[in-house]
Amino acid sequence: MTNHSRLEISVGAFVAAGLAIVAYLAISLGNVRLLSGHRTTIAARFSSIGDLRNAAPVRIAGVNVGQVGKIQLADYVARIELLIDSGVKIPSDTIASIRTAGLLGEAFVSLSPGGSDRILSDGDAIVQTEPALDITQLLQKYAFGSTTEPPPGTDEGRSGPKLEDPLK
Amino acid sequence: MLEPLRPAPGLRLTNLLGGLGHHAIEGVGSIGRFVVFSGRAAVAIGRRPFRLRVVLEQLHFFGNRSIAIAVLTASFTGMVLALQGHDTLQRFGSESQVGPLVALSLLRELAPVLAGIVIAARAGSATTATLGNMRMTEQIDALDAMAIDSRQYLVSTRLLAAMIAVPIITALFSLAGIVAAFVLATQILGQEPGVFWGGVERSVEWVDISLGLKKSFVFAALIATISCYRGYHATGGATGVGRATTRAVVETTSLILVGDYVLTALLM
Repeated sequence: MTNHSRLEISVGAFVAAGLAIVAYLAISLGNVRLLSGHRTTIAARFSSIGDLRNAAPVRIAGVNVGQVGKIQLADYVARIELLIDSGVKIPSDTIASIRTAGLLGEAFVSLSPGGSDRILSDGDAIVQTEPALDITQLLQKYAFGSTTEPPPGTDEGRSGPKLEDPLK
Repeated sequence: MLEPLRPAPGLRLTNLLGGLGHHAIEGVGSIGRFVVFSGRAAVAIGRRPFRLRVVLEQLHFFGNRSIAIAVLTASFTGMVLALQGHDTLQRFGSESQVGPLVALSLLRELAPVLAGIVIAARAGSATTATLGNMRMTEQIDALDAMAIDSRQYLVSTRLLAAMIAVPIITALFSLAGIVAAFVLATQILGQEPGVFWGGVERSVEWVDISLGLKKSFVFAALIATISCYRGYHATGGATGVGRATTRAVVETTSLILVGDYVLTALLM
């Protein structure tokens, strides 16, 4: 078949455009990696991971350098795997912390590389981690002072929010 | 089909139960006939002769000819989502989330559902009318008499064409909607292009895209099988074809909406 009819050409163009759109959506918007180059898997343990979920981004200085892999419970702390793009070197004294974009945005892992000469390789673990901030707890602390000692000027032992009694 | 009116038999338990049983058996039977019809059509896709010419024509009909209406529907859906989203999100100072709102709504829900409904109304109805007319003018019988498997020739080809065309139209729908929303947001609502695209890129994951595409495959099968079934089994002359077409469109659109909920619940 050398002479293609107009029907064949237009259908061919339609299918090709469709595949191109799916590919564009997947690669550009959906962050799908066709050639997923080798990724370094580095473990990290957190006392709390907050709202962090699978496939959340891993960032250094705000730049995406990988994503969160498996999340599991190990000895009552969260053990997560960080899949770091090849070419990004992670020093052994890197600090991993769980942050949220904005006040209520999505959770991601932020890495602050240290100055060590030892570079973490596949299967190594990051030792220093900062757990996710609990916004509710933080607000409680802010509103009522420390949660461990009663706020100044209140009755000893009084707990709970210091609010105007609406019925008075 | 409504039963012909019988003389009132009086309210006896056996009559009530009998009526219930009669409808139940009818209902299960008609679902069964439809499933067998669809299953045979699906199996016959892989059987020789492949009838590529017919598939190509149907692909053109289901796909190429649906582009204009899909892009029109998608653009206005995307723009109205951006307008409404901007208005609501502005109250919380989060106008920057308009992009993710539009993109996720389109990719996950609106593109498969609306593209499905648009194609059901445009191509599905025409399919039922065509097959119904062929049934009325005994062309389907003529095919069978010539030892051409009419189900394979008419139904399998359309099923395959729809399964290819509908996901593509769905992807096009998403893209057109997002682009229209982008133009509106940046040109009229005064958003920064980078804020819009950055938000979209950050929030959209492959699971969102694949969810929409999985749905569109199911909807494609619904559109093709229901509209072919109604046309293939049309009875009662010209009015019968009209009735079959209406039923096909109503059943397809209802099942798309119900199926969308079920698929979302199952797949998410």
